[in-house]
Amino acid sequence: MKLVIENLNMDFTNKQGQQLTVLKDINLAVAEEDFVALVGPSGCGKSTLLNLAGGLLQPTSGTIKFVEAQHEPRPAIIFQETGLFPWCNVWDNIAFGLEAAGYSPQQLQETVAHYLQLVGLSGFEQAYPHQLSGGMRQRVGIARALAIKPDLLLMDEPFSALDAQTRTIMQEELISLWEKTHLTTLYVTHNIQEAVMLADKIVLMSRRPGQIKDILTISLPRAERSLPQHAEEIASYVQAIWQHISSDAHAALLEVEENV
Amino acid sequence: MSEYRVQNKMQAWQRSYPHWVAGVGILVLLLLWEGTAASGLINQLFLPAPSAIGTALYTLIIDGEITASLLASLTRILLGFLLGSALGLLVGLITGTSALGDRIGTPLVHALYPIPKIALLPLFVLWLGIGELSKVTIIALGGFFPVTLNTYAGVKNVDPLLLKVAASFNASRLLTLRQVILPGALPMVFAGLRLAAGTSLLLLVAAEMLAAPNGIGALILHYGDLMLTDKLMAGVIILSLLGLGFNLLLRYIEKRVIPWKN
Repeated sequence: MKLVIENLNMDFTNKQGQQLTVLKDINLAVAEEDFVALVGPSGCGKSTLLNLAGGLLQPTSGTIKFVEAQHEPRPAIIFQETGLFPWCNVWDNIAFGLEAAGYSPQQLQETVAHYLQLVGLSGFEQAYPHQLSGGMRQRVGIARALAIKPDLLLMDEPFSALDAQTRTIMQEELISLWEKTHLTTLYVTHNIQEAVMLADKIVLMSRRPGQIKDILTISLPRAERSLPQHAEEIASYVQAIWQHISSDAHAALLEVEENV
Repeated sequence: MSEYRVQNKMQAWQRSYPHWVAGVGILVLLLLWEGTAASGLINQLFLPAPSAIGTALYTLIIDGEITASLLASLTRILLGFLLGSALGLLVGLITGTSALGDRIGTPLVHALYPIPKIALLPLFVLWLGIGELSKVTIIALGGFFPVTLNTYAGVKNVDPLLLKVAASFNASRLLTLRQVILPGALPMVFAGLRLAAGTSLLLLVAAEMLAAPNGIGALILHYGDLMLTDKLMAGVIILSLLGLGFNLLLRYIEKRVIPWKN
């Protein structure tokens, strides 16, 4: 199964009634077992693109489709603010997607237990989200998404609300999870380092309007990227990407927040 | 050279007193009241002493007059409150979740909301008779609006991210309503229920004073006519306790139903 985005345009009308082009002429394919990162400064429309791919928004024009699909595709989304239900404990949060998919109680029981263990949260079934740390909350979010056995994982800056240490740990955990599942992933981040550590392909986006500027391929094996002998190569990737987007990032910094 | 100790500039805001201070405050006030009554400065007919009100309350309880009135009032208010709240919850959910329901229902609700409900009592008496039904209806109508408006606001306040999550998992509308919208709106619903409780009490007394053979409102009016102020005040105390009990009950239920809030 492959995600194909063709000639996609997205316009918003802001509160002043102005037409804003958020995404322009986006063409992108995410092949099976690809780990693609969307990188760009704030306002480049990368989150909008992810929401479009997840079917949460209507594009102004263009198509988004899954090709070579054997069954109806099941995308799962992991959000930055986790989007856990405050009134559900960990168990019920993970079970939500399964309930929506119509699992039998026994299947549901087994699946939740499995993914609870996978993200290292066994023993926390009864805890409510507000009792958990940020990192643990996002693990619940990951378990909830993986539990429905998605064929596409959409991650919208999942770790950017976490502190730096927790973020590093979560990145490592995501890498080891990914090595087990090889799940097709579209990952939105503004953190260049993170993108270089995680992705096979990095889609660089520019802002106003959001366009694809370049697509980079990172050929280093994912598991080896944190080794010291590759530090230099990683740094040069980061440097190259930063050069690509720094002028846009500076422009973003100076712009007064516009609520689109 | 001299030394300066760092002072806590937030002291006034960080101070707190133990709970019993509140009890002492009330006690002092009651004693003052009793004192002025005993001094003969105020005519006992206009403001009876707390002890006189207490005695009147005691005799009313002993001869069963309060129990009968309370039973009649409780039946009316509970029926009216439950009926109005249930309908309010339903209409609030419909206007909150359905775009069409919102377009049609919300202007209607806002147009009818400002009508002082007691003004409709003569009409309801005409339609439904002088009996229990007209009183229960007016109480229900008074509770209906705050619950409707608060439920609506609660639904609209549900975090859009959570709706996105539900949609991303292809959750049905029913599952989304049950697992996302209803729990998300619940704190606001309870705020509406507490408002409705206050309105219900108000309308109960008003309706009983206008057209009822029994009930606490009728009892107060009756003793007012007879100029038995101590018994009148005893009725007022019963009403105050009724309101207090209503509120405590709602707060207890709220704590049980919303365990994730603390």
